[in-house]
Amino acid sequence: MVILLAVIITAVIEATVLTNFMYRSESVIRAEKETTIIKAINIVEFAKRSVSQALAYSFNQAAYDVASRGGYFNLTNVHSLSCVPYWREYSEEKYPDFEENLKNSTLSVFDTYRAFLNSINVNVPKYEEVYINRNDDDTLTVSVSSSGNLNYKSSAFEINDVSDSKADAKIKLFKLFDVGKEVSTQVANELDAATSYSDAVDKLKDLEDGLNSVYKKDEIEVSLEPSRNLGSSSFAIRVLVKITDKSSELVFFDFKEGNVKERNAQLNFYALSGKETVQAETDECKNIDYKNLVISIVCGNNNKCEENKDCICKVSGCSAGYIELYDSSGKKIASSQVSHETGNGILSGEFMKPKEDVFGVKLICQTGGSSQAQIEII
Amino acid sequence: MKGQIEWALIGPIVTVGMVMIIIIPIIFLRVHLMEWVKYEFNYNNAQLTLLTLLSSTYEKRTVSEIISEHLVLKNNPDISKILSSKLDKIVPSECYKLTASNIALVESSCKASKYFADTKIVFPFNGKEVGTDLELVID
Repeated sequence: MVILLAVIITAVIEATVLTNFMYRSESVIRAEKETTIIKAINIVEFAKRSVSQALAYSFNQAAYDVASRGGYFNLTNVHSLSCVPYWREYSEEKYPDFEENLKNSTLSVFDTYRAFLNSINVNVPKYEEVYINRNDDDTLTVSVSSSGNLNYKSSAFEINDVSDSKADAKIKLFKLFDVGKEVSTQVANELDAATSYSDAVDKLKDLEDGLNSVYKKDEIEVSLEPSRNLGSSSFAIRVLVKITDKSSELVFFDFKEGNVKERNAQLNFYALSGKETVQAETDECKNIDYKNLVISIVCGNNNKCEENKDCICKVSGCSAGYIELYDSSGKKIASSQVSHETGNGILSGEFMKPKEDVFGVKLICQTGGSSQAQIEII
Repeated sequence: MKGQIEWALIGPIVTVGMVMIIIIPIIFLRVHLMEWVKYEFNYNNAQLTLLTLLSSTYEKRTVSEIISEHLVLKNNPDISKILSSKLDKIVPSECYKLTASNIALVESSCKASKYFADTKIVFPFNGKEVGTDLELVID
C-alpha cells in the first residue's frame, strides 16, 4: 500500500515537473529562433547603412572626377589636354552630357564597394539606375535602384529587402556646370573683343575679378589662366578655366596626385580663341579604372571555401603581395604569395577545416595597401 | 515487518532515481538553452548598440562617416572623445571597446569582454582599401 502511494506521488511529481520543463523548453526554443531572426535583421540593417554610405562616397568621387575632367568620364574622341577637355574652340562649343557621365561614373565607383559589402553575408545586387535630384540649395540627392533585392540567407530562413538606396551629396555640381557654361561664353566674348595678346590677358583678368564678385555669395571661385600667345602673326590664347565649389571640403582621391585628402570639387575646361586660328593642342587621356585601383580580395565563392579543398582568392588592384590566413582567435596560421601570372592567391586545403567556422584573410600588397575578408568553410 | 519497510523505501528511491535520470538531462538542456538565449539576447543588444552608435550624429554628420574619414585620413584627434560621449550614453555598464582593423578607437577604463558585435564600415574612395571591420565589445 505504501509502495503504491509512493509510486503514485512520484509519478504525479514527475508528470508536473516534466510538463513544466517541456513547456519552458518550448518557450526557450521559440526565444532562440526569435533572437536568430533579430540578429539577421540587424545584419540587413547594417548592410543598408553601409550601402547608403558607399553610395554617397561613390557619388562624391564620381562627381570630383567628372568635374575635374570637364564633365566627361571617358575622354576618348574628345579634344583634351592633360585630361582637361576643350569646351570651346573659337566659335565651336562642345558641352558634355555631364549628368549621364556622372551616373555611369557613380555606378563604376560603387562596383568597387559591392564585393566588400557582399562579405557582410548580405547579397547586394548590381545597381542599374542612378537618379540625381538637385535641391533648392544646389546640393544634390542621389538614389540608386536595382531589380534585385538585398538578400540574407540562412539554413532556416531568408530575408529579402528593397535594395534601393539614397544619399545626400553636399557637392554643388549642377551649379558649377551652369557657371561653367556662362563663363565659357564670356571668355570667348572677351577674347573676340581683344585687340592684342596683352589686351586679351587684361580683359581676362578683369573678367575673372568681375565673376568672382558675382559668385562670391554662392561660394564659387572662378580662375582664368591664359596660356602664352599661341599665334605667330596675331594672337590666340588657350584659357584654362577652373570653377571651384568653396562651400565644402570633402574627402576625394585625386588620380593625378595619387593621394586622398579633403579637397574642393573643381570643374576644369579649356576655351581656345583669338584673332588667329590655331589647332588645339591635344594629348591622350587614359580612362579611369576604379576597380584596378582599389585593392580587394574575394576567396572561393563569395568568401565561402569548401572543406579540405584549396581555396582560390581573387585579388584585384594588387599585382604583387601576399595573403595571410588567421584563425578565429586572430593567430596567423598560413601565408601565400599572390601569383604574378594569374593575380590570384591560393589557400591550401589542409587549413580549410570546418571546426574554425570562420577564418580571417588579409591581403598585403607590396605598394603598402591592404584588404581584409572573412571566409566561411562549407 | 523489517522487510516490508525496506521494500517501502526501495520503491520510492528507485522511482526517484528513474525520475532524476529522465529529468537531469532535461535540466542540463534547459540551462544550456537558457544560457544560449541569454547570450544571444545580449549579443543582439551589442549589435543594436553598434547600430545606434553608427547612426547617431555629431555636428550634423553620422558617427560612421566620422569614423570612416578618420580611419582614412587620421585627421580627427577628438575621435576618442566623440565616441566615448556617445557610448557612455548608450552602454548602461559604461564598459566598452570599439576597434577597427584591430586598432582601438575608444576604450573605457573598465575592460569589456562579454558581448561582441561586428560589422563592415566603408571608407571614402581612396584608391587602396574599400573598408574594414568594426568591432564593439560591451559588458
